[in-house]
Amino acid sequence: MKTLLIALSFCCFSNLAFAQKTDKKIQDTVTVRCYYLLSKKKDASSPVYRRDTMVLDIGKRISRFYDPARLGRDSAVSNLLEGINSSEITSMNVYKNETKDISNVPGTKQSNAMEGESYQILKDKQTGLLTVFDYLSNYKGSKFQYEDPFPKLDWKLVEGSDTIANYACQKALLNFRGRSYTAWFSPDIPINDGPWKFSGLPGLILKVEDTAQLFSFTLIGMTQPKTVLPIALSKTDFLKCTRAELAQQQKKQGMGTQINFSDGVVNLVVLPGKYEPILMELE
Amino acid sequence: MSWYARLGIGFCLTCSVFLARGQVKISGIVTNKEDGKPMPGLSVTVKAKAGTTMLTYGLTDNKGAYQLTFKTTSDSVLITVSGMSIQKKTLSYPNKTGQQNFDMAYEGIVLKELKVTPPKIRRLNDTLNYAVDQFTGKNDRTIGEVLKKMPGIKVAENGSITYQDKPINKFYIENQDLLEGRYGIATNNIAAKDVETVQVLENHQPIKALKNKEFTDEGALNLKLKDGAKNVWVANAQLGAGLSPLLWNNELLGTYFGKGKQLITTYKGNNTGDDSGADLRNFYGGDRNLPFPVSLGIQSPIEPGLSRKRYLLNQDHAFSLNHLRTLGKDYKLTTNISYLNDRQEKNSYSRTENFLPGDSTLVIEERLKSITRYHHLDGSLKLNANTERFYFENSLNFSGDLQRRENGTVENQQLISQERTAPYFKISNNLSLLRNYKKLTFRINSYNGYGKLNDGLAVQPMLYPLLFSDPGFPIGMDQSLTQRLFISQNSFSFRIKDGKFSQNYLATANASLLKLNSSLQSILENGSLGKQTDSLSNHLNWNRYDFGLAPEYSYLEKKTNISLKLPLSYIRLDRNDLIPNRRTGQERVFFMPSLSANYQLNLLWQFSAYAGYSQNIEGAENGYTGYVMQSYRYLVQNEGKLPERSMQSYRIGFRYNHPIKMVFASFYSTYYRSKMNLLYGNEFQDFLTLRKTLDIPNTANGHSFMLNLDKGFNGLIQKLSLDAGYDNSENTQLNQTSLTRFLNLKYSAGLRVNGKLGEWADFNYGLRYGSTKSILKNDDRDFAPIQSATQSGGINLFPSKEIVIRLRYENGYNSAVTGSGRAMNFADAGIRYRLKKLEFNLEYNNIFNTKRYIAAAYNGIGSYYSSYELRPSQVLMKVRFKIK
Repeated sequence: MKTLLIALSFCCFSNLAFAQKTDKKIQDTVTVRCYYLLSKKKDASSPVYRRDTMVLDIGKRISRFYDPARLGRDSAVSNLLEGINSSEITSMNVYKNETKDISNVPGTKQSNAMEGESYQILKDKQTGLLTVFDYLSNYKGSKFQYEDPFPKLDWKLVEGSDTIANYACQKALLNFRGRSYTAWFSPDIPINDGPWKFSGLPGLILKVEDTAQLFSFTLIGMTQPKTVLPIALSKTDFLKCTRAELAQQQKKQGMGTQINFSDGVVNLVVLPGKYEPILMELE
Repeated sequence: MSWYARLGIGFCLTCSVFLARGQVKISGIVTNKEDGKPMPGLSVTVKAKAGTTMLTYGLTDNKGAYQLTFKTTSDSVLITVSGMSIQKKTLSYPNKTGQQNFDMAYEGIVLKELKVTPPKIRRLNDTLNYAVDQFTGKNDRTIGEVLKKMPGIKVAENGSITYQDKPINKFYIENQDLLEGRYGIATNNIAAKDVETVQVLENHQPIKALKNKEFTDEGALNLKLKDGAKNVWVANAQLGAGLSPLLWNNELLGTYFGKGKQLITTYKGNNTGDDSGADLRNFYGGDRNLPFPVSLGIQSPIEPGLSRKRYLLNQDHAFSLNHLRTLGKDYKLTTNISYLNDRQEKNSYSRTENFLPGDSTLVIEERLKSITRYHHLDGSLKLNANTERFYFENSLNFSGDLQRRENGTVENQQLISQERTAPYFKISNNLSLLRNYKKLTFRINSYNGYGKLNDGLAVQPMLYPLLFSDPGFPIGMDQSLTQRLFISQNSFSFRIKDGKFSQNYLATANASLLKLNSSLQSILENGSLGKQTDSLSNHLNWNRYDFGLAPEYSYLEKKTNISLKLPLSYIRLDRNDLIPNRRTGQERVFFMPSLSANYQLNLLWQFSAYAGYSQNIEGAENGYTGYVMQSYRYLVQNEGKLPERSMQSYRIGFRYNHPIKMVFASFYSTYYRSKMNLLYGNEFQDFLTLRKTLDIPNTANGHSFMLNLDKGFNGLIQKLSLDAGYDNSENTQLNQTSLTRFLNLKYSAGLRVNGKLGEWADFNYGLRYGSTKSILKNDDRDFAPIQSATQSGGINLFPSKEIVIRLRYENGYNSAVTGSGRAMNFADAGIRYRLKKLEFNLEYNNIFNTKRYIAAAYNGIGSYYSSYELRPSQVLMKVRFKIK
């Protein structure tokens, strides 16, 4: 019965993944692509436990902030699922609540909730609307989106200047959803945008970190693409919800999945452990 | 008014002045200079005239309006309006409430590019990705030159690629195997700037249907091209000319890499010592299923262990056409045609010493000259389908020397002329079918081929008159040898996989049918051939049939794989020697078990071990009974008995690779012991060597070690490679009439460094040391070791973007050489200049005009010394340009 259920949810996922591949809605094209290093710590004195390269694609109207490596890993999982012809499956093994690791088996794809960021943040300059797209790290692959209307970020300009990535920057402070942030922005890059949900300064935010030093975004690369790169989002239906509802769902999600298909045998490992991330938004 | 009151008023006044200064509100409208329309979304910032910190900021709304409220003590402020693609505008404004409008102009804005440098090597599951741009130097044009700089990847002098000391099993371009093993065509022609990533696919199983069923420990290489290099036709040409003598060097290249179609066509021709045929060599092994057992040869100089460019006296033309297209969803059709025409000249002096029993040594001195001319054609047509479910492949191959002529002279005590003609052709078809049914895999393989070699060697003058009984005074000897060979190899196998265990059963049925006809005749004074005699002729039918059953059991798990093979075969050999009219039939049953194991300790360490036992019975090369003159001084005749050999061999090794730290290390150790029923030896009669066979069982054994270490760096030194080897082999040979047990020892060590001095230079340095030693055990004769060392270094300077200056120096040393030849020096210089789409290359090679290369080493129970004539100094100008 359990196997059947999983097989069923499988097919759903593969359909979903398929739809994702075929249709993409182009919203804008990239004028500036920025790379930010996101480093995370468990507390101020401990070393950084996770580093990811995030991308901010800025168009004339829309900007998109995402983690290409995580999206790549996860789509590899869904592509693998998509490629399986259900008639070829001779047996299926599901490992749950077990310490099994098949990551070394050739062909294994894995999606781990603790590795990288699954969200994508779209900011629309014209409407001022911020939309977050996200999904849960389980084989069901449920997809969600919510609009995040918050009042204009109340940045405080303070004394202090620094040079980041060869740009002269000014300091600004912000309290946002339970954490205090220090940002460095450059008036020489007249783009009113920044990593994550941050924007609203008269210049691109090149660095931002919270005062407890748990999260830090630093610009490490910036290009003005010569070829046309679309800012696109798949047309797949994302389930509309609120920020609170998604946070509820995320608390319940597992650590992720490893999947391997060879020789008719599907091995699916539901990674053990509880997903307990340190949240940026505390309220 | 009291003093206090006055003070109070004064204070209030001061305050109000401050207050008046405190809250300033500036507003305005921002419009477009061109059409006066409002501009929304622009940043408006304000700061005190002398200040550095922004006071406040705002954004223009949909009507282009802005409003700034701030406090400052400054007399005036600076208001700045900026936005993407807008010319930034800054105005000074008095520190008071008021209105200020702006009209703005468009302007493209260019930001300071900030490149993200990805790691040089990245691992994704079983794939290592090397970022090509980060390994490419300014002097590197082709991808082959860049491959040499990648840690873990080795490119041999002949162009073959090994990954962690194992030859790669596939070379792909965009995941397609266009070149079928002749990947020199790609590495020596595809531009490095067109390649995004070089991928090493570790433990690569090329047959998708066998993935996770049959383990391989070989790697494959894949070139991922940049988007700009895909789906476009590219044609490049190079013209070159130089002195002395008159030199030419031309190239033409056309490529297309599209989704369902790939094509590379090349032409190369030169007489400057660049071996154009090197591109056409098949590194997958080619058509080795049709070997002619015997071949004749003219005595010609042994090529020195030096870069071929230094000594190759050639005049060659090489053409190749490689085409791949997909047919439908699963099928691919690959066509490869190549043609090579060459004329090679070799000149040398050599001295061969054979250590004879009782402290004596036989010395053969020869001054050799030879010219080889040939036309070689290769063609193959392959249709294949490679899917997870089934595999199909049928390839039809043709290869042959349409013409081959070798002329040469030998001067020892007299002048001997040799002439060989040896045209041959081979045609074969190979069919492979594989299909998976749930846990079962069936595989059928059928190879059928036919080949013919017409070999002929004429030697003048008559050297061995006692062999012939023709009247008069014959002026020479003529050896003719024709071999017709048909081979059929068929196998059927099925595999059962049950979880981690799999069983494979292979049944084979092979036949090899050979007709060998030879005749050694004298050349009479009038030019005609003397009569044939039985003792100097062979008329032989040599048919061998093999039937075998080979069970294989394997255990494949994520960290461990073990495989046990237990092949059992029955061999029937029918020899019909028509001249003595003797028929013999022999039957043998061979059992050749082997066990191999691999263990992956973690992502970094891997261990492997192998043990095996093999048996074989040798072929017609040791079975013909009439004399064959294989070269002017080597006459071979066999007794009736065939050599049979059995061998046990063992190998252990480990590999370590850490892509992030760019460390690649491997170590292997081998041991073998073999037994043979017959003993071979050479008997020297003056300079003539006769091979002798004795019915004495004997053994041979040997062991070796090999250590390799590669490390990549990001600083001054980019790649460092170290290797060390030791080889020990012990053999028995018949030396004149006595049995000789001899030991050969070889030591070798090497070092290679690639580096970079900032943006303006890169360099490389290599050092190679070798030592060989022979010990004749029963004579207790111990010969002084011969030591040799070569050093080479090069530096490329980049004074400007368009110019590359190349300097190269090589030095060789050999302890066995006495006099001036002991140390040899070579130097080359070159300059490359790029002018728009033209690339000029001026080369000056062998500046010291070093004329001879001297080599010496131990060789069996003997040693040889040779002095080989090199290419003289030459100056060459080449122009490379893009046609399309």
